[in-house]
Amino acid sequence: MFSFVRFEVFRALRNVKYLLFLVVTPVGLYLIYGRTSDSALAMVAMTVYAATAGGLIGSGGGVAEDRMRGWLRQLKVTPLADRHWLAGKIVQGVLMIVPGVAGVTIAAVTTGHVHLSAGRWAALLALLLLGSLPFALLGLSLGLTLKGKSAQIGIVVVFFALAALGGLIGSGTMPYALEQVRHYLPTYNLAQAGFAIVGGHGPAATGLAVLGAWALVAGAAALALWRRESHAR
Amino acid sequence: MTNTVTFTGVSKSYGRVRALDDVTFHVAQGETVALLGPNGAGKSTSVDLMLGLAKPDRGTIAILGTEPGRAVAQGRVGAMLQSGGLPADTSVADVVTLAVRLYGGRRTVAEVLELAGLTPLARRGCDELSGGQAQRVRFAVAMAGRPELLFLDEPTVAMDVESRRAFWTAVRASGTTTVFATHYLEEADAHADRVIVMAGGKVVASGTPSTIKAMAGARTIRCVLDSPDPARLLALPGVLEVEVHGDDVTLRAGDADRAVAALYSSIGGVRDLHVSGADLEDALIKLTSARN
Repeated sequence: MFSFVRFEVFRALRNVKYLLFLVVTPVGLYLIYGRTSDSALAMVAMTVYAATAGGLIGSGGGVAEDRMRGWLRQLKVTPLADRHWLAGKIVQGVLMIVPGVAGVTIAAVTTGHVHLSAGRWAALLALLLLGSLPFALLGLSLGLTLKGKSAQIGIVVVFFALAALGGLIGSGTMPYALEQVRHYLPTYNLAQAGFAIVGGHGPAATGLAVLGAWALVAGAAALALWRRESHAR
Repeated sequence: MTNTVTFTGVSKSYGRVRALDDVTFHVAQGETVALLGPNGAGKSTSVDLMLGLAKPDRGTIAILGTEPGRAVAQGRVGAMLQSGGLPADTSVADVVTLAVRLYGGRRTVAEVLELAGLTPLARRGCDELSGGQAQRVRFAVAMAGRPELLFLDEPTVAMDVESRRAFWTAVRASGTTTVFATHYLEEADAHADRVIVMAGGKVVASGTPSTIKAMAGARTIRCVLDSPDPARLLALPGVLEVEVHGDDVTLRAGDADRAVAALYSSIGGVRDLHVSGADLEDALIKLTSARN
C-alpha cells in the first residue's frame, strides 16, 4: 500500500517547477489583492485558489499526462490494487495543494499582518486541508475523463470557471443565475467557510455538506473511471 | 499438458470495428508463442483481453487456470504493452523499485536492473531515455515479479539490432511461458516455438515457424512486358500467381530467383523489373481471403 504512496510523494517533490508555479501564482495574486482589500479575507480566497489550482492543474493535469503517456495502462497490468492507487493519488494531490496554501499563509502573516488566535488558525488550516480533498478528487476525475491535449486545456477552463464563479478572482458580482449556481460550487463553499472561521463564527453546515458531497461524488467517479481505464485508443 | 492460456471462441468489437472474430488458441506451459500479423490483425486486442484490460463480447479466456484480471491481481503475469509508457519526474530506479514492491519483493531491485541491462542507467530520468532504453525499463517492470506468464506486445519496436539480441537472450534465459505479438516474420521465426498468424481479427494459420515461413515467404515480382501471356507466365518455374493489366505484370513467386531467371531466358523483353521482399501483409491478406 505504501509503496505506491511513497512513489507518488517522491515524484511530486521532484517536480519543483510545478510546485513553484503552484506557489508563485496564488502568492503573487495575494500580494496584489491583499493590499487593496481585507488582508485576512484575501488570504482565505487565495488559499482556496491554491487548493483549486493544486488539485485540478497539479494533480489532474498529472493524471492526464500519465494517461497520455501510457503509464496508467502499464500500472493496470501490475497487481496495484484500485484503493491503493486512489490513496496514492489523494496523497499526491494534497501534496500539490499544501505548498500553495502554506505560501499564501506565510505571505499573509508576514506582509499582510494577519492576526488570528491559535484556535482560529488551527480551525482554518484543518478546513483547508480537508477542504482541498474535493479538488484533488475532482482533478483526478477530470484527468481520467478528458483525453490527450484537450485535457490540459479543459482542466484550465474548469479551473478558471470554478475560481471566477467561486468569487476567488474577478469582481465578485454576477448575474442572478450564476449567483444561484455558485452556492453549489466547492470553491465558493470552501471560501465562505474560511471567511466564517476568520470572522469568528463557525462555517455553515450546508457549505460543509456541499464540500463533502463533491468529495464523495468526485472520489466515486475517479475510482470508477480508474477501473474502466485501460484503453489508450 | 496444462494450458497456461486458453482462448476459446473469443469475439470482441470496438464500436463497429470487429477486432476479433471467433478466435481460439491455446498456449501450453513453457511455450513461447508468437502472435504474428499486420497492424489491425487483432494481436493487441488479444493481449488486452488476456490481461483483463478489456472484456470479450463472447467466448472465454482463462489465464493460469483463472480469469485474466485475477491472474494479474495475484502478480502472476508480467506484461510489456505496446502503448505502455513511463511517468514523468521519475528515474529508472524509481520505476523499477515501485514495480518490485508492487509484486511483493519477489526479486531485488539490483537483480531486476541487471536482468534488463539497466544497471548503468539506474539514476537516469525516464524522460532522458532513448526509445530502446525505455523499452528495457518496461521489460524490467514486466519481469519484476518473476511472472509465470509473460506478455510482450511488439516488444522490440524501438530497439536497435544489438538491444534486440540482448532482449531476446534475457527473455529466453527467464524460461517463462511467453506470448509475444509482432509483425516481423523474422522475429517470430527466430524466437517462437509456435506461431499463430492473425489477420482481420481471425486466426488464419498456426504452426511451427518453418511452416509459416514457407506459407508467407512468397515474393512479388513486377515488370512490364509487350503483350504478356498469363498462361505462359504461370507456367514459369517458381511462379504461384499471375496478374496482368495491359502490359503491367505482377507475379507472386515462391522462388523469386528462379522465376526471374526464367522470365529473362524464356520470355525476354523484360522492362522495369522490380522484386519486393516477403510482403507479409500481402501474404497474410491472401491467407485470409483464401480461407473465406
